[in-house]
Amino acid sequence: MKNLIHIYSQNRKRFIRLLIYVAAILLVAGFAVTVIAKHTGNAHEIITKEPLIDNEGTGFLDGHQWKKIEGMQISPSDKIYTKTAILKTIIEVGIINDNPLLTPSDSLGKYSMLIDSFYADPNNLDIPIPFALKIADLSVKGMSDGRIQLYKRALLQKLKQLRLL
Amino acid sequence: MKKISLCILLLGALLVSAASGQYRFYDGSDWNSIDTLPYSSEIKTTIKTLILRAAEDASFFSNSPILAKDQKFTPEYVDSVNDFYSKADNKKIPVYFALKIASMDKANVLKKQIQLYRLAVLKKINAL
Repeated sequence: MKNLIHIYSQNRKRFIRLLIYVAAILLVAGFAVTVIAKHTGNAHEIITKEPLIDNEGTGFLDGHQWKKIEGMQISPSDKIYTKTAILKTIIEVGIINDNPLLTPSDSLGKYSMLIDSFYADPNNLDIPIPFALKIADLSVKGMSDGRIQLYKRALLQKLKQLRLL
Repeated sequence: MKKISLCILLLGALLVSAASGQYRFYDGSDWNSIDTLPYSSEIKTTIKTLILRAAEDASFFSNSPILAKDQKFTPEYVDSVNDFYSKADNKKIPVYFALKIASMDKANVLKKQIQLYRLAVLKKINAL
């Protein structure tokens, strides 16, 4: 012990310098971990705590929420599962209420992809998902782009009229 | 010859079973399968919330909103539907009705009335 105290008193400056180095390394390592976490898997949960679903947009589920599914930390197949579950639910609710939105003519995976490309256009983001699904169905059933645009314009006008947008 | 007849018989049986296959709504089995996904409870709740909100939106646009005018969608509905589907008897009930029953419960509808509604839904689903 006496030896240790002797060594310390002889190398005090070196010891303090060492402490400063260790503190600096810990600081840099902490910063690096934060930066890495931000750019990897669980960054969303660990760092931001931003809610995955909010009412950005119309208050209905729309393109804003649809696009957020892509940002979720889940596997690609589970993203497709989530999207097709949403579409299946929408279709079934229409059937249950005797007011079917559509009768699917293709797989829900295909509809999901069409909706992905529909919402890639920022002008469409405020359109609620049931109508994006309807527009995808018009496309699947072979309606021309011109007529689909007309449908979309009329739909937007109606939704705005009803103050739903 | 025996092999060919056996194949035809097998194919016939497969076709019959496929033709008689009942359509299955998005129901409690699908809902509960979300819990088996290898994600945090926050992510699972997010997926479930999206599904319930999809049901609510679709019901609104098909002129028969699930939630009453004075009701707003809250995360509590996910818990109520979880609870509903934890009972094996309810697994075949489509998610639309599970949310409807949760909203009836929240609106303090009589338990007996909710039970009658649930039985009527089950009867209808089993008859499909």
